[in-house]
Amino acid sequence: MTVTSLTLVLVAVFLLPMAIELNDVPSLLPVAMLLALTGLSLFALVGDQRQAVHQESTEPLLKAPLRVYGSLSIVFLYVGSVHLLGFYLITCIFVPLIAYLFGCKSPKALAVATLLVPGLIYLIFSLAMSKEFPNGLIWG
Amino acid sequence: MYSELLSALPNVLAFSNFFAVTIGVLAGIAVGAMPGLSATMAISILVPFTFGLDPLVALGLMAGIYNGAMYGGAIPAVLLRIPGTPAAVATTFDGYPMAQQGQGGFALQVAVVSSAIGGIASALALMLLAPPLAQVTLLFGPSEVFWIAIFGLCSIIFLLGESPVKGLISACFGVFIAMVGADPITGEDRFTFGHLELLDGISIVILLVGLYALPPVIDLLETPLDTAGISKNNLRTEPIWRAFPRMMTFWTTWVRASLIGIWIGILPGAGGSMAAFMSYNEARRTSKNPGNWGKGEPEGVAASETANNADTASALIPALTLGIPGTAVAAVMLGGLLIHGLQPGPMLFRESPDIVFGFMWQFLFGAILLIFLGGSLATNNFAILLKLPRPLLGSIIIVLMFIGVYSINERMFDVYLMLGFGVVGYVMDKLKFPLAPVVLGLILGGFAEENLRLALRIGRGDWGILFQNTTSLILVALTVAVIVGPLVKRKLTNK
Repeated sequence: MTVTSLTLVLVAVFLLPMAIELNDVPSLLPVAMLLALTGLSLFALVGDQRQAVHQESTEPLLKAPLRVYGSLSIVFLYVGSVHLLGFYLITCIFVPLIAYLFGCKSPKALAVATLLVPGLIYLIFSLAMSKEFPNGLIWG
Repeated sequence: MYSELLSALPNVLAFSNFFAVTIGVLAGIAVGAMPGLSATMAISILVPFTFGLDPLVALGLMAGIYNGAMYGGAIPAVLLRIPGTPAAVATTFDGYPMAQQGQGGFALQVAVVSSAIGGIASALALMLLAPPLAQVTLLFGPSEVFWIAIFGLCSIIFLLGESPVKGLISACFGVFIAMVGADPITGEDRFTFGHLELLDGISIVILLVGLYALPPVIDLLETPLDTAGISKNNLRTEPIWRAFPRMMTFWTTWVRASLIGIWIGILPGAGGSMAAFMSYNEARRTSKNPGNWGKGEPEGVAASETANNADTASALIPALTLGIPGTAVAAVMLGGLLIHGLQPGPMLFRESPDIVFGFMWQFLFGAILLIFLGGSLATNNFAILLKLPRPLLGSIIIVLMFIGVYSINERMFDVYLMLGFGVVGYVMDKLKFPLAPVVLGLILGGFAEENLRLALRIGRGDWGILFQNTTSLILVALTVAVIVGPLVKRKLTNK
């Protein structure tokens, strides 16, 4: 909470000059919001410090930190890879990969998902709804 | 206005619209049955896919999902003592002991019938109460509308969540997001950092998917679920029409729980779980056999499930008439209305009566369909969904999130923005910041600013215009009451 409060204060202080530079009326609400965010974050920070003094131990925020960081990284990796290498190729690779890495070891389920998910997406979105997905920057 | 309600009926019965409700109910039960997934998340993911659909088809899907998911949450609550949705927590108290006594099938039948009764009562309340309220709000000018927006924001901040400070931070964040883009009146750039993609502001869909879909996916991947012991065989039950007479003794509970659920739904900031707990406690208090409660009393399941479904459509009464959603799901649904160019508020009833009244009918049909779809299928098939590998489900949801957000404007910028909101949403969730005020801030922030500026223009810059008539003063008083009330209550409780 301390880190979050400090981050909020820093972001609000960084954005405040931009809000003040705006013309009179358009700056009204942004300035008010940023000042409120700064004040409230400082208030939350003080409250958190007080709580920390009185409490000896706090419950860990994440049950399995490695899995959380892993899952967040893989989501970002998926999106970045789609941008670079194209939607269908990366989806075919990532759907079973994510499932396997996070505990789905059934070859049958993985094989079905590998074929079914991109297949259905192609039929529904590309064929029926004429949606276009990224082809990948690398292929031009 | 009630004549318009009737004239909307034939359109709702058109095949595509009715089919959408049916699919929505089935999908909702499936989503609710899987712990970690919620109606809010399902509707958030659905919203971008509904862009090209007829508004009533899109709204039918949403209404169906909302109704279905509120019942679906009872399935793991009864079978595993894990509530599928937060509103199903009270269902675990007696549902799980019933399952342990071999009555899991009957517990689910009680849940489905009670859910349907609660949903029907809620839809009828929406049909009866929303039209007259909309008539009243049609008389409001910019200063009253500004105060309504402030009242809506304050009520969800101070009534939802444990910490008003966290609620306020969430709301300020939401309002600030609403300020991004070209100024609606002067056209001046605000916080776009040179990105042309931000000139039109941040789409509510991107925020919804990021905030409500990514955190549950991370949770799905973070914690495995033990589903050993669930099979089709231990859920075999008698047909629902044969089980129904055994439930007839619950009628007082159904009526009371429906009224509690409707009332809680109308109150901004309260939600299905509060309705379920209140109804459960009230039913236990008035029971002839309070000692049986918590040990497998079917009436406990009835009380909880009726109330958590009775707050579904009623949460849309303030949302549709005033633009103030009562719950997070209602806030997401407002997002769904907005992307179809339907601005929630009194004008919606004048400009698109066929859609707004059609939506109400869809809630009613969704609740009725629960008995047929949930009753005949749930006990034998939907519980098996719990066996689906959670990591696989997580990876499929990630792909759907990508498709939904990318499809809006076919640009990667939106996807990266959604991921950013997702991370923010996950951190907020873990630190117990309420997410609904962010969405409400985005919806009402722009709305409040626009009306404030309009009022000031009418008053030639005089801020006194905001306090010049009785309605405005009443709204100011209500806002102050909403802020001060919980604080006073907390002080008194601490003493």
